[in-house]
Amino acid sequence: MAAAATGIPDSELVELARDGSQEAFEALVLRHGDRLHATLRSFGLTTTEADDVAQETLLRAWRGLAAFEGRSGFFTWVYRIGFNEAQRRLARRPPADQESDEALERVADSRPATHAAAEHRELARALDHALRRLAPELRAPVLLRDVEGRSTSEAAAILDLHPAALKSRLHRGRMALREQLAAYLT
Amino acid sequence: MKRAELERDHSVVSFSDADLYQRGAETLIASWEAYADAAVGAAVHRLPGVAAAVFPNGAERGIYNNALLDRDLGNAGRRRALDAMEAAYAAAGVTRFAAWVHERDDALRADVTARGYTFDSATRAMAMPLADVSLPHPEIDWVPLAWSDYLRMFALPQDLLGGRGHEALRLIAARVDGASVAAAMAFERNDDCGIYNVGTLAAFRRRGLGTALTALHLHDAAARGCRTASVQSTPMAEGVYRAVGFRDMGRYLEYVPSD
Repeated sequence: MAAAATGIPDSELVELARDGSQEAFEALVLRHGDRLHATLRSFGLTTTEADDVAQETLLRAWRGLAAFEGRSGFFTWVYRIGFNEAQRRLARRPPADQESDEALERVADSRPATHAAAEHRELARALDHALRRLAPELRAPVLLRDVEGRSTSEAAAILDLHPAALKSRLHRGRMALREQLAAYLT
Repeated sequence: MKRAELERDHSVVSFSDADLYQRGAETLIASWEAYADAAVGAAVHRLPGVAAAVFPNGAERGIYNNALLDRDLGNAGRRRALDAMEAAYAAAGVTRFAAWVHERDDALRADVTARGYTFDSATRAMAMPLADVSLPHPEIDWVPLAWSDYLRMFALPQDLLGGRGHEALRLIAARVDGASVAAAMAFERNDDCGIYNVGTLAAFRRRGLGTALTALHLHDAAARGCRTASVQSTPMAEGVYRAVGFRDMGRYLEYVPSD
């Protein structure tokens, strides 16, 4: 089924999966799994964390298929579940100054080729730290709007927020980031 | 009844789409002026070719800095409008704002893009004569809603618009088991009723409460003598508004300055 699913639209696979076809759901996982994992990594999860969260996300999606109304695409729906799972995982992390070994290794392995590249990497690292220090309710809007490039209405829908509340939190998140990164921005 | 007699009756005066669009745009800008009245240091600048709502302070700064550009201006008019908009925000020290451009104004879209603005979001302008309301007066449990309760309901900053709102903003809420679970705001100008910020708490969606509150505002507005209504719809709500009787006036594309 998974191989034969090529060309079958997501909506049909979702319908089959709703009727109990695990093969149809596996086809959806094959189609969107890598993208989901990459998205979770972009939220700041390590590879191991992204593996776990992707698994949890897909499990929740499978269990919740009956509630999927088809008003958005399948991936958008899964994205929303994944985003919220990722935020929960990030909130359980130790304080920001205790970086995971993996994150430290990533930085150490990527030796700068030039001074400019070194500065860029330092800024990226500082930004990562600053994002992790943000309160979760401020970090999520910043991630969705400024890292993921989602529109206001998409981000508000994903976070289940009033658009004005989304804008307000985004503004506060950006201000907090600016304050934390002041040394790099002058 | 002859047409002349029909048109003397407010309820059957016909409105062209251009009329409806213009009335909705004017109501929208007037609603921004009401917000500005309630905020510290804010103002709506009606400049040639653009109305720029400038909110330099507080919680409003991240929400209400929007500018509506006129449609179909000539080359010089577009340049003048964009320059005036940018000057208004620069004078207030506001670097993040949204320039609203009608989707069918290709020349203006090209101009804002050339200035480095990027597309951010879109809402659909919709409008209707109140004579076209297709829904009956809804039978729901509803109450007037205080601004402070509205802020709490949707996790908005408690000091937004001074925490008091503005008396011209009519807020109502639908209740389930005595609790407010959906809300809608109306603002009237020149016999046009703008309906904004219709929202329902997640656990109470798919019950038609937002539609019912919209219909309630429409019927009440008609009873007060309003002749038209306007909304800015998100993509998810467009079907609901069409079902009520709203016509599509095209989308407002919101462009933001690049960082």
